[in-house]
Amino acid sequence: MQKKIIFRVDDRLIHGQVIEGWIKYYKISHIYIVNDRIYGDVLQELIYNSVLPDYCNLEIFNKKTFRTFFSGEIFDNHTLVLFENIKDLYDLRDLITEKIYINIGCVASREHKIEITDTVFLDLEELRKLSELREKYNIYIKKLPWDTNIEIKNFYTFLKEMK
Amino acid sequence: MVNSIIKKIEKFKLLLKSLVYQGNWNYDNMQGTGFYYLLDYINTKHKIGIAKELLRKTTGYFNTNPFLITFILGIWCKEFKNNIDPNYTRKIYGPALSALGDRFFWHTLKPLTFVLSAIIVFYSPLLSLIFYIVFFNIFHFYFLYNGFDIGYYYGRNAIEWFNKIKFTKWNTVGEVVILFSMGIFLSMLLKIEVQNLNMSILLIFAIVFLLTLLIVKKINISLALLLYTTLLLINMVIRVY
Repeated sequence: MQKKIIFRVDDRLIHGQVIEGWIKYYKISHIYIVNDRIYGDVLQELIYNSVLPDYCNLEIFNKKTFRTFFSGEIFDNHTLVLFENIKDLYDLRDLITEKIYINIGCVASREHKIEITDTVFLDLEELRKLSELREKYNIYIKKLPWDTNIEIKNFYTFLKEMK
Repeated sequence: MVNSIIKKIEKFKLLLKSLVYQGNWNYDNMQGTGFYYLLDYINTKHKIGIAKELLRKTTGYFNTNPFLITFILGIWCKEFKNNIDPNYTRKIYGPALSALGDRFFWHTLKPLTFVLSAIIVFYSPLLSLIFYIVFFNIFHFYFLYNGFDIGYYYGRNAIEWFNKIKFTKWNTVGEVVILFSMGIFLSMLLKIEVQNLNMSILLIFAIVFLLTLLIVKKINISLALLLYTTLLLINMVIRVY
């Protein structure tokens, strides 16, 4: 993959698929979690650091601090940025460039959500935000690096039909 | 050593029940129903006093490595006892133990057990089969059997126990052992393939392999396998011509 920065939406954040899939496959050495809830949570930081391989460096940001950090950062190695939900990605949409590969891994099923794939369930608001992002950038649903990209298309049509 | 808070026989029953923990796995709540099933058993047996409503909430979306589920049950019960929201801690530990468990059980222990069994096949196929089942399940059952007690003892700090036993290092060591065993396995194959094999060829194989490790600075099973196979083919071609 030419693009070295991966933005991934996965509500499990760091888990088996991320470690054995994404980190290993792309030899990712830097992982950034962007989440207002986790930022400053010492226990979660300790847990996530404990489960990562030694060669991985983890930093946790909230959206505000990530915006400052990411703007001036130059990435030499593959870097994975994890978001817990579509909203967080959408809120930081101004940071997205063509150099970033965006994928949706898992967004769990909740009440009133629509099944997009077997692991991605979105509500109407998330669908709207994702559609808006999709208008500008390529976004795929992909559980593991070697899986086929699942295209996100025609959601606007779907949203109109829902109205 | 962690003292047990439930009787040995009940720990054993919990282990047996945890074997069907994923029986209702689905995309909607993943292992949520299984978690409820095990927690309900503990609640009934030990009269922990979990309210029905809270118990019902545990059927919600949840996923972890099934071999480490009893740890999370122990953590959950400890958090409940300490009046801390147990489902919040469960949400943190689910993916974290999934990461640890998947890495160790699926990507280290399973290939290691396979390679060792493959070596034993040369001596006895039956022994190989027994070894495969016993070796893998020693770890599997140890974690399932003791997980509840450890999780309960450490509570939300259960990750300390994994750090204490250097659990992530097991994978690094395991990968080295897998590679070494793979070398032995392929050498044995080679020995069968080529009669009156000169031992110096095996030595060259080992040196080239070690050099490869130094060059790529990373242990890579596929690379090692490819290297051995290539050398095997070169050796056979040389012998034919």
